[in-house]
Amino acid sequence: MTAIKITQNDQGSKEMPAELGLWSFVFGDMMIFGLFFFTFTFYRGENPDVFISSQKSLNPIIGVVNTLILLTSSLFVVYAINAIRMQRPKIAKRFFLLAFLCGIGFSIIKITEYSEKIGEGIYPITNDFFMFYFILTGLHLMHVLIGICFLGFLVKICNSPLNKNIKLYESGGIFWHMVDLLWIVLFPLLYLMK
Amino acid sequence: MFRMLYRYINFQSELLFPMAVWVILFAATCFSSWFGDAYVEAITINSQITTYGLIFIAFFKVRLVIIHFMELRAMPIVIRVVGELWVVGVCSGILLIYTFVHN
Repeated sequence: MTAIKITQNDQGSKEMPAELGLWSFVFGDMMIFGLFFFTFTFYRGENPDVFISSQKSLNPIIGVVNTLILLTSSLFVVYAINAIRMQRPKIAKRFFLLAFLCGIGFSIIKITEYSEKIGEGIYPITNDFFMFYFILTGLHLMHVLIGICFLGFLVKICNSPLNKNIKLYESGGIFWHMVDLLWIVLFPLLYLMK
Repeated sequence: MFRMLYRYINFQSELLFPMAVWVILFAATCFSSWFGDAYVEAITINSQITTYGLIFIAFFKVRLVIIHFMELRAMPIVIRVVGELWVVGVCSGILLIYTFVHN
């Protein structure tokens, strides 16, 4: 269990994984995305016909595959953090690398989906649904790309004896899990909602 | 002997527990996809019920990620409360807007 390894300080209180600043950023980001989800649902209620007919042009299989890729990458990150806590940097490096590759895979699928849509003559200005689709998934993709850079950095420093700061690895992990959970909500909103 | 056994069980739980969470997340995603598409095939399922189901499953998955992968269950209570409130607040907000905003 990941939580078992969370250390206790001298006073016996729990130490939180990752830096407090990172938690503030993560929760702030989640709040902003929460507002986006509300706005999307509101506009959907205002124009249900446009949203339902536009949604049908999306391929839900792509959404499912991307969700499974991100969930699997999150599992790899959990294992990587565990390995770091157990002082096994080589194992951690492999798991961070696998998560990194999952992130690359997600991005390639997403960009392919964008190019398909643009090839079909669908742009953000086509209608409200596609405006939300491109903005929400675009913002999320930006987070994925930042997460990929973070994971790549962690892969690079994993074997370095100079980096014993576990919180740095935990921060990368927390950020990646946030990217995962935002997609978990975006997937049904954009691809499946009826 | 006992210490070795304890370490072995602990090592197994390090690997197996996150894997068990992942299996639930994986299964819930596949179920969502089937459940969402089933409406298209069988119109007898009410579209509102389908959407409620999809949103509930999504936030159940989000909670699993927050509690077990982000380790909120082992966090100071303030952090955990913020995370739990986000899940409840955003889930109920989406459902309320979906239910009451109609053109």
